[in-house]
Parts: sequence; C-alpha cells; structure tokens
Amino acid sequence: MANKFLGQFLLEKGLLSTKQLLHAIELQKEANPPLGQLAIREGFINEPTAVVINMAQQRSDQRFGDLAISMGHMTEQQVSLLFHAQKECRKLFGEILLEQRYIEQEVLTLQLASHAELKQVSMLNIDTTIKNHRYSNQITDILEAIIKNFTRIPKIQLKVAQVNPQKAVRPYGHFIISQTMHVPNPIKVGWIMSPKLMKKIANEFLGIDVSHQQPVYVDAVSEFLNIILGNALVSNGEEQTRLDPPIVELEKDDYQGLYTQALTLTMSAPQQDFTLFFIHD
Amino acid sequence: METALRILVVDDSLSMRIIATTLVTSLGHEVVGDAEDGKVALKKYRELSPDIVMLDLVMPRFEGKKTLKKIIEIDPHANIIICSSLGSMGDIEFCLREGAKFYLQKPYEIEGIRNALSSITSLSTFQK
Repeated sequence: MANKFLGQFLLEKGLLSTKQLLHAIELQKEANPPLGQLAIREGFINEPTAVVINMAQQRSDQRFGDLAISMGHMTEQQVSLLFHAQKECRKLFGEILLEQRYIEQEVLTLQLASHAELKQVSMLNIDTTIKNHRYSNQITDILEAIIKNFTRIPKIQLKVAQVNPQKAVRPYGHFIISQTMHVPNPIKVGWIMSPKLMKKIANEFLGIDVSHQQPVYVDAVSEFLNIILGNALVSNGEEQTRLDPPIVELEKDDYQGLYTQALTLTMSAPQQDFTLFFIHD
Repeated sequence: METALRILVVDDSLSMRIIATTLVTSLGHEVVGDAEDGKVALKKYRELSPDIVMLDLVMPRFEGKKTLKKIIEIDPHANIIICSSLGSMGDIEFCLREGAKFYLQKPYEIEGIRNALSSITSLSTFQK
C-alpha cells in the first residue's frame, strides 16, 4: 500500500477519469498559488526578484517567505499578509471535485476515510537525532514508507533500534543498495542487508521463490527500495523532487562516498537487522 | 471476458516486469514483449505495435518521460500507462499532458491495473 495523492488514489479506483483529474489539478493550482506568485501579484516584489529567491531556495532548506525576509526583499508584515491571502483562497482537492460534480459527497466521504487509512502514520518513535536532523521530514517520511511497505513481508516487524550520526559499515557478504533522492538537494539513501533477508523480501515481493537466483533477488530488493523512496517523496509533497535509479554496490566497506555527512540507523527485525543510511552534503 | 490486449511492459527492473506480466496475464491479456529501457522500448513498439505500453519512469539509460515523448512522436494515438513509484501531482500532470492515457503508482494492485486497462479500452480513441 502506497501513499498516494488523493486524485491518483481515485483515478486508480476508477472513480475519476484522467481528464477530470487533469482539470482538478489545474483548478487546485489556481486555488493554491505559490507565495512568490502572490507577492508579484501584490506588487511586493518583481519577477526577477522572485527568480533570485527561488534560486536561493534551491540551495537552502528555507521557505520562500523566510528567505525573502532574510534577503531584504520583503518585510515580515508583507509575508504575513501573503500567508493570510494564501490561506483564504486555498481549496482542498476534495472540495474541487465536489464543486465540479466529479464525485458525489457520499462517495468522497467513504473514499476519504479509506485514503486516510492509507496515509495513517505508524507509531514511530522518532529519536531526537532524527528530529533535529536537517532532513528530518524526509527521513521521517522514508521511515514511515519503509515500515508501511515492510508490512507486506510476514514476520518482520520493524523498529528503529539505533541511530548513529556516523559512517555505515558493510559486514562481510552483505549488499549495499542505494538510491539518490533529489529534494532538490541530493540525499543518498540506502540499506545494507544480508542475502538471507534479501531473499525473504524478494520471495514475498514477487510471490515466487527466487532464493537461488541472485540477480533476481537483488533486483527485487532494489525495486522495493525504489518503491519506498518514490512513496516517501509523495508524502513529502515537494514538487521539485526526483529519484535516480537504484544502484547495487558490493565493494565498499566504508560507505562514505563523495558525501560529507551521514546518518545511520539500525533497523531491527527479529534476527534480521539491517542498516539504513542517509548521506548528504 | 473482454478482448485480450497485447501489452508491452517497459521497466528496468526484471522483478517489476515479472510482477506486471503475472498480473496482466491473470486478467486475460497478453504481454507481447518487454524492454529494460526506453531505447529497446521504441524498437519493440515499432516491431510489435502493441495495444498498450506499461511504461516505468525511473530508468537508468533512457528514462520514462523521454520514452513517453518519443513514443507519442511515433504514434500520437499510443496507449501508454505510466507505472511508477513516483506519485507527485507534478509527475502525474506532466505525463498525462504529454499524452499518457493513465498513471499507475507502484506497488501494483490488481484493481488499479484492471481500471487502467478498462479506462483505456473505453476511450473513443482506442484503436486495436
């Protein structure tokens, strides 16, 4: 079960057509203009300034409004006015569907309940190291997506057993599978896993026994990571995101690569721990 | 049962090609070919003229969005279902505007595939 944007959820259920979905997305965007667009409309900044702030935003984790203030392009009062205006015109996706009569209220209520169930967060006990991390939101979303997707694998109930702000080390014979998420800054996310656990995941994921076919079980576990990270990006809701394909690395014992900072989590499953790592600049 | 559709599955992951083939076959349709990247997909699209293409987005050599554009260039009526782990509003909107007929978010669910296929076959533009 994946985290899904409501429109996508209803499309797959056959309750919305692609034409209706595209129209609703267009209306949603009109009803939720970005802060920069509103600032231009109100005459607080001009278009080139908005571009400069957007570019600065890509290099930092700050929001548009905070950056505009710190760069001296807008006052706190102006940003607060814009937030208020943004809130006033905001419409929920479901509201748009009802307004357009794309779905009946009764059907939407039912579907919203089932969609909320899909999005329900697990009872993750987030460590303070993660809470205070620069990429706390992304790491939490990834952990949620991992735990949710691992419910497909019987007899594995995951929890975060250890958190270390340090390099990841590969035990002999274990595989490293990683993937770079661009949020938009790159974060390399990966896991270090024993072949035994990988076989178990692959067999459940594919529904057939592929324990004796290493390329197939490695591929299945890579794709499992790809699905988890793709789902985590949906939860994050950022539009300027993308995902590189997964890579399998066997030769590196000290997994530091070109990145300077790492966070390592030991994910605990009965007798089948694995290491999850996040590496970023 | 509806008429069996001839489907081309494009995904760099062998596992996902296995899963897609199993599910599509269980719905009574036929996977006429598969491809691990966009380049092979274009070649097979020309050779096989499938009714439907199930196309992954994140692929290492010739990725999905580029493949989508190329197939639509060859055949503006191509019936393409995007199959991706990505599900942001931006990705979905981009692909549908570029001519994809449906968007499925991985992991696959049989209901989603069934609805995607029947949504395409019910379109007036569907031609076999």
